[in-house]
Amino acid sequence: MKSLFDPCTLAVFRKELRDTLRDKRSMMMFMVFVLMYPLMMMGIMNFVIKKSTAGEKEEITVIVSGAEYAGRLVNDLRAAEITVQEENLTEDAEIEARLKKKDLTAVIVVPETYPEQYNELKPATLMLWFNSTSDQRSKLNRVNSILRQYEAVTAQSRLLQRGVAPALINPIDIQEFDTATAATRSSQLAGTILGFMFVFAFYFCLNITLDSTAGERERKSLEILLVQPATATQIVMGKWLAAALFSAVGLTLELAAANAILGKLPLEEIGMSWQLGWNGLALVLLLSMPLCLFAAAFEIAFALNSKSFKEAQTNMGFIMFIPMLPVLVVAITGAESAPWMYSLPVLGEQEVLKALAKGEVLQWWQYLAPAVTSTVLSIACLLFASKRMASERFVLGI
Amino acid sequence: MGFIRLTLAGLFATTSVAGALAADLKSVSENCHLKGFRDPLRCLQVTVPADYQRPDENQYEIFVAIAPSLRENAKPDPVFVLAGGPGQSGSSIIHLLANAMQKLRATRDIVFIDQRGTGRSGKLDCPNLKDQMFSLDEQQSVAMFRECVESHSVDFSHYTTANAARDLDKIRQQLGYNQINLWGGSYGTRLAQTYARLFPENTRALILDGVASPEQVLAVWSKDAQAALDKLFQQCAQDEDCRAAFPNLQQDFVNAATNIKAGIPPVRLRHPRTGEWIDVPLTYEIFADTVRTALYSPTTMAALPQLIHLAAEGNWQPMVTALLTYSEWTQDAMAILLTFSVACAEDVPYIDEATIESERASGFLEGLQARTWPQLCQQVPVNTVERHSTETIAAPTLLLSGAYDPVTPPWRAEQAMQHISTDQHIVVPQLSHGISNVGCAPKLLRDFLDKPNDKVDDACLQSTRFPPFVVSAAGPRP
Repeated sequence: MKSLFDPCTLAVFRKELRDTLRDKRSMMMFMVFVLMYPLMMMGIMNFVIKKSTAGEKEEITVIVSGAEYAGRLVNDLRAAEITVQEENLTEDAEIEARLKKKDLTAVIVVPETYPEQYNELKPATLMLWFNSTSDQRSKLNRVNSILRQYEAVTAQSRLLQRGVAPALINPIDIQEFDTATAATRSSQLAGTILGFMFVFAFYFCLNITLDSTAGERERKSLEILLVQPATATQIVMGKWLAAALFSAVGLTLELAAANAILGKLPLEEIGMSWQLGWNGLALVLLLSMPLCLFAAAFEIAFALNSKSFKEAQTNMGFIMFIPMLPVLVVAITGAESAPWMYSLPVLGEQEVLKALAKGEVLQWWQYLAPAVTSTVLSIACLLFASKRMASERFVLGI
Repeated sequence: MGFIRLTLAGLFATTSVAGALAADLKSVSENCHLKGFRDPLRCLQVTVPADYQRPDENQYEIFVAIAPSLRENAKPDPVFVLAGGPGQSGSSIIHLLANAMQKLRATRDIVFIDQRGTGRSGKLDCPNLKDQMFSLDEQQSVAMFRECVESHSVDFSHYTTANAARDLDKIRQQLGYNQINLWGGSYGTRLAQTYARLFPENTRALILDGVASPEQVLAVWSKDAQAALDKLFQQCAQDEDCRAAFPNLQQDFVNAATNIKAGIPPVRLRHPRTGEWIDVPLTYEIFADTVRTALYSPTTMAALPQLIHLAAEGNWQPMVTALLTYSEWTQDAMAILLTFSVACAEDVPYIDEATIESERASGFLEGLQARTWPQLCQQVPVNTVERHSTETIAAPTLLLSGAYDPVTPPWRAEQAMQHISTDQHIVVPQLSHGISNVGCAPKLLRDFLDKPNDKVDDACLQSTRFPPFVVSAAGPRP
């Protein structure tokens, strides 16, 4: 590894950096990759939060038939900011037709007999019509809770008048104590959504690796590089460091953007929180640097085999799927955290991030395992690529 | 190794100290759960001097429970929640987290404090006295109270509002906060104002819910209680159902009062909880205080006309049922001896003969507490404390009042505002004692603390409805 900081290596490194920075299209792609995922995540989370609080904020409309028999109920509904349409519906078919409409949550039918039953302290019947196939679940729950409250007020009043303490209805006071904090509840979010961020480490350096390997081969500029007084290993190293730098910078920007966005989102609305903070983020970044090194090495090793930029792109489409596979499998099967997960690149980093977001303390090996694996794999890829680069037959495409 | 080292150095340089405070909390407190809230909190004991003049002598342990903010980048200024009473503890109002404090908790730590002498901070209580509420005459009660006082070996004169405020600042230091916001309810508003005057530089903003003004004297309640009852009579007269059911409500009240003053036999009824037959000797004082208690909340107010009407007809059972039920709701939480340690030092000395005379004549309560508390205070060895300071408070303040409030009505908030430079006052016409838990109030609290100098839009609170009156055996109209 003495060639790592050889002047020749650094010269190649500077050249590749300059090439990529000059290429407007590459830089555009880079920025798109950096911002795409955090923004997409913001959109999705916003949608989820909106949906979960929809019951409170969305317009709820109910039709009350026979509203004159249950004035207090109508008042209670209106006080809860529910739009009440008073309309007398007698036929079932009419009600069904009304409920076919998307914007109606329920139809409450108060029959003529209701006040009489109520005043005689009998269970007074009213009908709550709804359509469970429509997307009105949360709204219907809200209407239901108002109905239950309406009933509880009545029951309490009746009991007190009979000289019975309302507390007797609930003889057992079940105190629910949840040991999960909002942070631990959010670990699913941190794991799945954020873990995916590490996959992008492979995309940030994609353009530069393809261009500096397959691209150079296609343009026949690789030969010019090889006649310079630098060994094949030094050339590979230079290209690798330049690519890894892009990956690292991209990952840093992306995680910073995600952290800023998650800190701003009203996650508490869905019982979650984002507690990583900039310190935790710095630690995660530090631990994921080897992953950036691996991503660059991995792509260089594979892209070197392609004769043209186009071909490399096509091949990469498949190859990139390999490091993503464990992440997808775990996300789909919902597998619990297990020690072996820490030893895989991408998945390992994801597990560390998940644990940090939960506020858990990890063992030292759990921190280091993904870094070690990534480093070992990087070295393997680099050895392979250097061997390739050293072979004249390969470079000249004979 | 050049550029790699540079990148890493850059990373560490950009890490902020945002997490430092959270780490502070972690090191001084431990996980705990308290009745009334589902999620884990952080609890700790803070050691404070019993007497701030002699800080080295005696120490008290103050219990503190913190609900850490839900967002990681918590605002540096927490909300200290100050309970009412005096005598209520912070840990008994943890349930406020589920609603009133829910929006605030998103970005701020919420800190609950058991004031010295309440809850888990060495509760000063007389459980026996509470059990014997109705079986004792005046003399017996005073004797029992004295026994309770003597059974405690503490210096009651340490339990003042000012000392409680100094405890708050000790807690602030221990938790590493710079400036704090204070939310006070009822008596908690007195404590909050006291803190803001003692430690103006540490006070960011105040929310006062059910405001006690510095001029207010506890136990002098007759005028305000009568005003609240009159308002209720008005409300009933304007309500179709209530008017139809109880057309002569005011006369009913006079009749009931006259009858009970003339003396009625003990009310025989089944205890609402245990079902045992009991005899309750009902006096006018107990009746008046039950009515006063019912005025604290719209829900109990809505049932009051019917209780009065039935009592006027000679049926006192529902009234006694209500009385027994209310007392079970409130009793356990209060630290009675702390109530009197504070009141006997800060309020009762300022009740003179003239005050008692005017109290007697200014409403149905007839100065009940103003007359009886001085007797009880003779048993409590405390030193008279100067009247509360009226020095101007500079911290922006949000005041919340319910128009029906029988103890801290809106005019008390107006009185307090004369000594506050930046304030806004929200009066909710259909509510009584306590606003923060109702409707959109939690959001308004958040709006205010986010921008304490901006006007809060309270339109959403103004549409709060008065609950339906109980008008028949079937309850409120359907």
